[in-house]
Amino acid sequence: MRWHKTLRLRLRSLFRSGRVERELGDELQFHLEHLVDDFVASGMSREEAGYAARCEMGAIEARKDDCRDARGLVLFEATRRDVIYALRALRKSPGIAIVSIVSLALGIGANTAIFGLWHGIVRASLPGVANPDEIVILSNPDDQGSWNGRTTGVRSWLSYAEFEQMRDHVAAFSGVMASQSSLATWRVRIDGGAPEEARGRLVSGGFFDVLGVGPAIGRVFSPADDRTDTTGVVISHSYWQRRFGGRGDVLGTALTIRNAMLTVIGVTPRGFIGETSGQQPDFWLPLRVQPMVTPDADRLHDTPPENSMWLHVFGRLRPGVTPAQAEAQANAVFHAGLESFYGAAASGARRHEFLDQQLHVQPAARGASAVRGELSSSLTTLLAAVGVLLLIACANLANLLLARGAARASEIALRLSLGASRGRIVRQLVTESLALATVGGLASIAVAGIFHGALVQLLAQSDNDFAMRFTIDPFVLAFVVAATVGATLLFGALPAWQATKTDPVAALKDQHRGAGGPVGHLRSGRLLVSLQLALSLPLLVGAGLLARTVYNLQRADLGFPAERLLLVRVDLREAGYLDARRQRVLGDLIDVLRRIPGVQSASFSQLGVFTGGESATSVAVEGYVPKNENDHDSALDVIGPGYFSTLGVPMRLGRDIQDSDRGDGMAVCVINDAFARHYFAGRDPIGRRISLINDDGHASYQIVGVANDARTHALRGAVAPRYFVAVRKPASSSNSPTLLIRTTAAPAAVLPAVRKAIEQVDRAIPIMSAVPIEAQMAPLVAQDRATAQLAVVFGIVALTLAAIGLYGVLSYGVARRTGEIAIRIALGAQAHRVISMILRETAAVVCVGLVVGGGLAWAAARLIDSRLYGVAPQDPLTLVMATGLLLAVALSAAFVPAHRAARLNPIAALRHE
Amino acid sequence: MSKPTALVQGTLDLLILRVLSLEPMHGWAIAQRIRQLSSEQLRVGQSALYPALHKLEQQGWIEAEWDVSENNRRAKYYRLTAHGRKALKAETAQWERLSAAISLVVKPT
Repeated sequence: MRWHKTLRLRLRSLFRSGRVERELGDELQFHLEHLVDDFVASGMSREEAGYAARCEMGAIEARKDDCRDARGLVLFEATRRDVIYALRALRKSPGIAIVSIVSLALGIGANTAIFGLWHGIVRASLPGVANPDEIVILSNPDDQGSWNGRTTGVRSWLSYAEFEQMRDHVAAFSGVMASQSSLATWRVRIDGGAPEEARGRLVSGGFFDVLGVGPAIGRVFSPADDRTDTTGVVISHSYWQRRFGGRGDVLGTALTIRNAMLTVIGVTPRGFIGETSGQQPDFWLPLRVQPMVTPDADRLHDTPPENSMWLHVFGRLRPGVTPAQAEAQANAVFHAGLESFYGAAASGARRHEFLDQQLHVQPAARGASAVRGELSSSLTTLLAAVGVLLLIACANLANLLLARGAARASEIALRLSLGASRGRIVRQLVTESLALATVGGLASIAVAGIFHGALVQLLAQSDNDFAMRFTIDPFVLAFVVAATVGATLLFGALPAWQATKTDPVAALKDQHRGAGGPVGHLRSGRLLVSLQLALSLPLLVGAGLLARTVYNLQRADLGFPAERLLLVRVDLREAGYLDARRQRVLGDLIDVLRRIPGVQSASFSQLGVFTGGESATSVAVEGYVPKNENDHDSALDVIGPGYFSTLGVPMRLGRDIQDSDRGDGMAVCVINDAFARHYFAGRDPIGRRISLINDDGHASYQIVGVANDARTHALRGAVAPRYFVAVRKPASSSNSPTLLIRTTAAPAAVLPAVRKAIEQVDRAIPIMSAVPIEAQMAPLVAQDRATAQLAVVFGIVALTLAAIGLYGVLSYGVARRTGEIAIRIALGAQAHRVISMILRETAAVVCVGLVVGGGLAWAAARLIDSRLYGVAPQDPLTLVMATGLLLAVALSAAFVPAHRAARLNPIAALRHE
Repeated sequence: MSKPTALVQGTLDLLILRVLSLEPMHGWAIAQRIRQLSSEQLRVGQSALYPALHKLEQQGWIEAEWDVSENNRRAKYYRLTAHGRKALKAETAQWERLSAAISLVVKPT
C-alpha cells in the first residue's frame, strides 16, 4: 500500500517534473503573499511589505532546491539536468562536438571491429550450436588446422573406419560425427545448368544431431544416413538466400557434382556455419557420396597399408563425462582398431611405430579453425595497436576539452563562487564528455560493421575460405560500452579536474584579459602531447618493421629465380588417368610444352610450388644411424625430368632427373642440400640408397644428385630435408600435378599456346589453375602485407593525431602569450629569436615523448618478433627512421604557431590587450 | 526567537504531524498554528518548513491536495495519512521519552 504510493509520488516527481516544479513555485508564492498580507496588516505600505516579505523569504530558488532535495531525487534530477545542459553546451560548439564524435566513432569502431574478429576467431563458441561446452574434437588440428603428415604421436586427422569405431564403440559420447577436414570448392550444376563454383563439405549423418541443430526448412541428415545411400544435400541459409532467393521450393532442387546426382533436402538456420569457425560452407554433403564426388579414390574403404586420413571427428560428451575420461575410452577403441587394421602386416619395429599413435580429446566449443593459431597473434597485436590509437585520439580530445575548459574558465569560476561544489561541476563536465562518447559509441557500431567487412576481405587474401559475419553479441556490446566509458574517463576526467582547479576570484578578475587561461591547462596539455608522441613511436616502429618484413619476404632468396615461371595445375583424376597411363600422359604433356616457342624448359612436380601441399615420409638412409627413434623424417616430391634446370636450382653434385629415369625398374632420386647435411654430414651421398620405412620395405631409391636448397613450400623457417623421385613406388596417388614452365618472356604471352598444347594431348584434362610464380606466391605474404598495411595506416593516423595535438597546444600557448611576445618584439626581439624561443619549448615536449616512446617501442617490438622476417625487433635503422619521422612531423607542426608568433604585429596585439 | 535549526532533530516533523492531525491545512497555516500553539515561542521559518513538508509527503506520511484558501487563493493543503497517524503516535511517544529523560538530567535535584 505504502510503497506503491511512494513510488507513484516519486514517478510523478520524475516524469511530471514540469508540473511538480510549477506547483512548488505556486506554493512558495502563496506563502509569500500571506507574508505580505501580514506585514500590511501590521501597518506597512504594500511596497514596504513586499520588500520585507522577500527579505524574510530569502532566496526562493535556494528554497526550491531544498524542497527538491527533500524529494530525494537529487542525483537523478541533477543527471537529467546535466545531460540537458551538456547537449545544449554541445550544440553551442558544434565543431568540437563533431570532431569528438567522429574521432570517437572511428576510434571505438576500429577497436570494436578488431575485437569482434579476435573474439569470433579466438574466443567465441560456434554460432547456432546447442550446449557447445559438451562438444569435443578427437582429431587434433594443429595451429594450421591441417595434417602435419605424421603417423606417429598425436593423430591429426582420422580415417573413415576410425571414425566408425569412435561412433559405434565409445560410450562416453552421446553422439560422434565426422567432417571433411578441408572446405572444398566444387563445380556444381544446379537443375542441369552450367557448372558454377560453391563451397561444400562432406559430413557424416550425425553432423547436425551432434551439433544440436535442426533445419530452418526441410530436413537435415540423421545418424541413420550413415547406413543408407542417401543423396540429399543440406544448404546453408546464406546460400539459400544468395543463390535461390530464399524460395521455399528450393527443396527438391537437383544438384550435380561430378558423378553424383543429389537433391536439396533442407536449409540450416540463419547464422549456422558448421563445425569450423571462420568458414561459411554453402552446403553439406553426406560422407557416403565421397566416392562419387571424388572418383578414383574411395576413402570410405581403405585397404592396409593405405589409411587415408582426411576427417575431423567431433563428439558430444554425455553429461558428467570429462574430456579426460572420454580420451581414455576413445584411445582404447582406437588402439584396438589399429591392431586389427594393420594386423599381421606389421611386425617388429614397424608394428611398434604403427601403434604409437594416440587421440587427443579436447574441448571444441569454439570449433575447429584453420586460422586461429595463425591469426590470433596478429589480431592481438592489431588490437593492442588500435587500442593505443584510441588512447592517442583520447589524448587529443582531452586537449580539446582542456582548451574549452580554459575558455569556459569564467563561467566555471562564476558557478564555483555561487556555491557550486567542485564535485558537482566535475560531474557536470564529465557528463558532457559522456554525452559525446555515447553518441560516438553508438556511431562506432556502424563504423565497426564497415571495418569488419574490410578486415575480412583483407584476411581472405591469404585464405580464400576465410569468411566471418559481423555479429553484435553480448561480448562485443560489452566491449563497446567498456570502450566508451573508458574513453570518457580518459579524455573527460583530466580536463574536468583541471577546469575546476581555479581560484574563482582570480579567474573572474582575469576574464577581461583576452585569451589567457591558467598555466595549469597548458602544462596538462603538454603532458598529453608528450604522451601522444610517446605512444605514436611504437606504432611507427611496428609499421616500419612489418613493412620491411613484407619487403624482405617479397625479395626472399628462394634459391631459384621467381620470375618467368608459369605454374599450370591439371586434374588428371578428373580426366580418368590412372597409374601407368598417368605417367605416360605426364611425359606427353612435357614433350608438347617443351616444343612451344617461348618456352625454355618444362617439367612437373606432384606437390607443385607453394601450393600448400606437403608430403612426409619416414626414411632409412644407407649408412646413417638415427640419433633417436623419431630421427627418420624427410619430405618427398615426385618430379619430372629437368625439374631442377627448369626451376633454376643449381646442382651441387651429380645430375638432375632425366627422361631416362622414368622407365620401369629405375629408382633414382635427387636429395636437397638439407637432406645431405642431415643424413650424410660430410660423406659422399652419390650412389647411396634411401628406403621408405612404411612402404613394406620394397621401395628404395639410389641418389644420383644433390641440389641446392630451394624454398618451394614455405618462405619462413629452415628448408626441410627433401628427396625427389622420378617414379613413386608403389604408384603415386598424385591427382593434380603442377606443370612447371620456364619461359623466355612474360608467362602470360605463352599461356594461350600452353592451353592449346594441353588440349592437344587430351581435351578432357581440366586446367585447375594457370598462374605465374608471382601470383602463386602472393597469398603467402598477403597476411603479412595486410598486417603491414594496417600498421602503416595506424602509424600515419597516430602521427597525424600527435601532430594535431602538438599544434593545438603550441597555438594555445602562443595565443596565451600574445602580450608577452608582442612586448618582446616591440623591444626589438628578432623573428628568429621568437621562433627559437617557441621551438625550444617544443623541444622539451618532443624529447620527453621520444625518450619514453623509444623505451615503449623497444619493449613492444618484441611482441611482434614472431611475425618479422629478415629484420630484428630492435633494428636500429627502423628505430632511427621512425624517430626521425616523428621529429620532422613534430617540428613542422610546431613551426606554424612559432612562425605566427614571430610575425605578430606588436602594436595591434598590445592595443588589443 | 527559536530558529528551526535549534529545534531538536526530527522535532519539526513531529510538530507538523501534530498540527495536521487537527485538520488539513496549507503551509502558511501550519507555521501560524505552530506559533499559536507554542504561545509564540516557536517560529518555523519557511526555509525549513517546506523541505520538511515535501519530505513527509515523499515518505507517504502526509498527502497534498490543491484547494481554495480562506482568502480565495489556490493553496496546497496537506493532510495526515493513516501512516502519518501511526507515525505521529510513535514519534509522540518517542518525544515524551526523550523530553522526560532530558528533564531528569536538566532539572536541579
